[in-house]
Amino acid sequence: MEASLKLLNQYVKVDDFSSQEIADQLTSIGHEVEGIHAFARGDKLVVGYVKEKVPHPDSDHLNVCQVEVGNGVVQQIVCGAPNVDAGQKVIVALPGCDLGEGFKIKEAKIRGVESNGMICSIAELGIDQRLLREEDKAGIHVLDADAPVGEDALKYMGYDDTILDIGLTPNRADCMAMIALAYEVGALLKRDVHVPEMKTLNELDSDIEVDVQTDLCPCFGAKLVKGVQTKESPEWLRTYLMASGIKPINNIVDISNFVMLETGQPIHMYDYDKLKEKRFVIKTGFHQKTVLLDGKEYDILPEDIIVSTDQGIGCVAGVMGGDDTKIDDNTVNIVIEAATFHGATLRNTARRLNLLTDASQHYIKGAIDTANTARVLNRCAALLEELADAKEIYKSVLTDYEVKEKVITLTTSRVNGLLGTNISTEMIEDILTSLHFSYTREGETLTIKVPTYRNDMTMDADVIEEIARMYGYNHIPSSLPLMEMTKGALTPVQSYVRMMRHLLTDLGLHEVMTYTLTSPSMVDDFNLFHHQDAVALMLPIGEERSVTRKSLIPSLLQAINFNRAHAQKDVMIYEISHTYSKETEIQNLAIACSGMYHHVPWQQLQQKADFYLLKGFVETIFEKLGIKESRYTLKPVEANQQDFHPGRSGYIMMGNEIVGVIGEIHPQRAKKYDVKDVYVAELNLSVLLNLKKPAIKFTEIPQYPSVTRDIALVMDKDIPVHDVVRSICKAGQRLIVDTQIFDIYEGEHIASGQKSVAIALTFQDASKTLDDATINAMIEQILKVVEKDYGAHLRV
Amino acid sequence: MDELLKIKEEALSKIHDCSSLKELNDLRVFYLGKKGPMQSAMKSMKDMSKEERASFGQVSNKVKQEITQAIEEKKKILEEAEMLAKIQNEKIDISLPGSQLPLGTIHPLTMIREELEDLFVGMGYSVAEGPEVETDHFNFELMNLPKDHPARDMQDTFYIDENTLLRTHTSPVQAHVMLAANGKGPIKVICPGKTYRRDDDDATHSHQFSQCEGLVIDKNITMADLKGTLELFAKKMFGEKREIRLRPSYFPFTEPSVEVDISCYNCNGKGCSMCKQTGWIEILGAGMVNPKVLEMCGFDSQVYQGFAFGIGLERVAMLKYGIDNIRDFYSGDLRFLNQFVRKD
Repeated sequence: MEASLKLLNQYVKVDDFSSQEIADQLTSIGHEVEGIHAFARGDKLVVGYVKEKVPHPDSDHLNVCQVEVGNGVVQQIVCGAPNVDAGQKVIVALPGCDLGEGFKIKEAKIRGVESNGMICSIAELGIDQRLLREEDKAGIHVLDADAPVGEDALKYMGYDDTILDIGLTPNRADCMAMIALAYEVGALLKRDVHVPEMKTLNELDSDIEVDVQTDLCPCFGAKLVKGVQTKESPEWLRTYLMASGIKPINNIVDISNFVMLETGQPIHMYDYDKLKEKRFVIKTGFHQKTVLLDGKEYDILPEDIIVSTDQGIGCVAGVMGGDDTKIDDNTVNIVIEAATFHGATLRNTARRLNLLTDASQHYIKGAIDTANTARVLNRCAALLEELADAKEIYKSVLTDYEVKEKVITLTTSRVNGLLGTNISTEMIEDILTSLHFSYTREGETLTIKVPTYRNDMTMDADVIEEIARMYGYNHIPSSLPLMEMTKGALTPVQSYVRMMRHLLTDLGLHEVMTYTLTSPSMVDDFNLFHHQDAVALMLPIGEERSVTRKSLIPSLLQAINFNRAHAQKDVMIYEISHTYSKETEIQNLAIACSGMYHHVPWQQLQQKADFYLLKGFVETIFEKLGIKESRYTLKPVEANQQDFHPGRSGYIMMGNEIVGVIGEIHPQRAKKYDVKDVYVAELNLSVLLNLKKPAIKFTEIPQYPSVTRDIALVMDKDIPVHDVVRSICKAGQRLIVDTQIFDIYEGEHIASGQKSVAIALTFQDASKTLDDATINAMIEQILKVVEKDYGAHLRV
Repeated sequence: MDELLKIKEEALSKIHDCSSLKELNDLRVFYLGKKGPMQSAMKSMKDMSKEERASFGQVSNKVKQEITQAIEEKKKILEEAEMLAKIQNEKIDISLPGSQLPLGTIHPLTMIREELEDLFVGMGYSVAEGPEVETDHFNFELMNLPKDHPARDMQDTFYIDENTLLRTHTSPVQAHVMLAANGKGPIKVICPGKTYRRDDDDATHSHQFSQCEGLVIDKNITMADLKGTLELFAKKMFGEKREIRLRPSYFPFTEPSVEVDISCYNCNGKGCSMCKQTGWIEILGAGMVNPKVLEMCGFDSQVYQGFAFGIGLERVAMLKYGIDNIRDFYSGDLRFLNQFVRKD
């Protein structure tokens, strides 16, 4: 909200503080001042007197004026405004005056004629343009004839105001009322608050009837005032409204806006003479189209709260009045409405009709002090009498309403027990008094009555917050919780995730974080772990982010695409994230690599990302997790696979379950995501991190030497080498402790369709030194087995 | 005798002139071997008298000794020269780049998350995560945001159906933890994770972001404890000189609620553009757990009380590293990630 310091000063004295001091004070009690600005700007603005005006010799619209600017000084000023004339009192910007946005007044020549200043319009003073009248923008502003020449023009006009931009918290909507804000300042500064008199005037009996037929309207008040005259509001009222960000219209509308500004109570006015029956029925159940006072047609639904007049829609409660009953320039007799409506219902109406008006916000946010309704009506009537020449004022017609008195009991030890402070009961009493909370004290127990405008107070914690606010949050000491020891630790899964993250990063991969929400056109790509439908948003911002992803690979491909577009060719990335489908949550890890993994060009050292690099990453992860090779198999993907290259990809299987995948992306997918040569792996961590694993157990370091023998086997080229190695190890009866494949060869000297595989076998027996005879026999046995199982034979 | 001395002089001169270890070895074999001149000279001994033989033997031994010693000395010199030559030959350009292995990076939001986890785990907190696809009940109702609360308007939340949504904050994890504790304290937990709001993405808004919730519940937890805990956080993340300032604020799930500022680390509180001349930077929201939340989550609010805080990880990272576009976190841009290669 925008708060005028000059207006605030009407209710509580603040003009002996700087605006910054007041802002700091307000911020310290929870009303954060987000900005401070002058209502009008310009430092060298004075009241001037136009002594003489002659046409500019070289222009058909400019005039050369001799303007007295104080102390007998007369300045020559060239002025282009059509309404400038000799004998006027005007606002003069003297040379050096800064009107903001780089507009600085200088001594200058305009078409050859010297000009030492500028005669200003209101629109040139830096006031928000939407608050101004057309005439404020059309020409220079003419001041009253008695304006003192040479005096500060802004001060003379009351424009020397400062506006605080306050970010009110949702629980303190009551402070939208200047009086409530004044109470806050008064409590903090220990100063009195001056609330305008709102007492009953000399009143006549009213013929208005009010009939509330819904419990969505706890209170409805109507007051008839006759004989008003519509005209422009006095300057002081116009200025206060503008300083508060409200555009002045005419005295009647301005009064209703001013009363809301002052009290937080929205005011609506009906033209008494347009009503056939002088009866207001508040109810729901209308279902029709209606034209409201902005001239537009709206659809009213049965749940909307309506103030009905003459069986029709007199007003959409708290939102906007009907067109038929609205006041206009010819209105003389007015019915003023001040009421309380159900905020949540009203919010739905206002939102649906796209009419979140200032008034409706007061209801929605709960700013209404229902107990004050009668006084607000009186205040309106008094202002109408004062500023609109109202002739007859009638008694208010108010429904019976009950304001429940809120009583909260509190002890001093409870206050200090929650805040960690040592505040005395007396100090609590002082704070309660400053906030106008009444209370009775018994020992250290306080029984507190909450003021009616504090809708936010419901329990002792609320009052403790009030005490803390006024005591000062900066006075609260600082300590650490004194309590039983608790065990602080990551869960095993959390530790594994962290270990993997650091492992992959240490292996040279970059961790990325990408969006969970993706497009339906990608959500099923690369998905292996989810078997249910995607989680779809009811109201997404766009199709592109409308469902939650199932695989992380599409996101990584997009990141690779982004990097390639920015000249980053070598991209090695991974992400660990939860993925969702209907009723399933899985933690995924995905790796995607493209380009050069390791490269020292001058040494001709390079390793390009390929299937085996990705497989190496996965094997390293598995080794770190203690998942032995014997627990999983790598199964080639189906030949008709659409996501992964069928000849270069495999599923990681545990039993019949796919727990991961390693492979090159399918050329079609590469095309879709506009990437090239990308190798990926994705793992289902929800399965892998919850596997049972044996504890680390030390085995004796063998004392006898090992022996290494190389063999080269020729076999059909489609035989998976891994299967052959497995057979060899099995045939080796636990004496083979290591195998290294050191060459795969196809070509000359090898029959076509065959390959030669060279393997180094390391033999070791923990109980004795192996002799040649034993090893030779074992190799014989191995050769027999591979011959039988794979048709492989020793290369000669 | 003269012959021996002649041999000696000739040998010493040749050893002196010798320039390689091989040549030196040849000289050794020649002079001290069985077929060398010394051996020939010895043959004349059989014709000598006993006295002559004794003195001849003496001289010959001495000559042998001298030659052996000269060879040993020369060998040392030659070996050293050879090693120096080898070293000279093996010289490389140490200014060429090393065969550095690739270095990956941890995402800056993860760095912040891990720093927080370490800080709080060290103080006895556990880490809870909770689902990102959450129910309305946990995300809002249990956080004291009933159905008609303005803060839960449709435009702010990604709803999946009437009762399911993408969590808008990590606060619902509080409720999961409290309900699992069955009304029995103490609870000390932090809840880091991803959160979502229905915002259009721009430099300062992201529909996906990260938070870290903190929750401590026991019988005597005070707002002073909250302040002390957050001071530790501020010092850990932004340096030992940081101070914090609490300002009253409002969150439905805490009462009293506070907004927490840290003294500006850029100007040490003097006022600069980073802190908008105030000397303070808004960093997080916190407060004492609202008794209504305690009750709804199975705790007796007459017995238990506690504090909660919510840290925006992007905000911390943006302040700490001077990042000004929130979208950088989610682009996977290596030019961004590579700046976080070192340990902070």
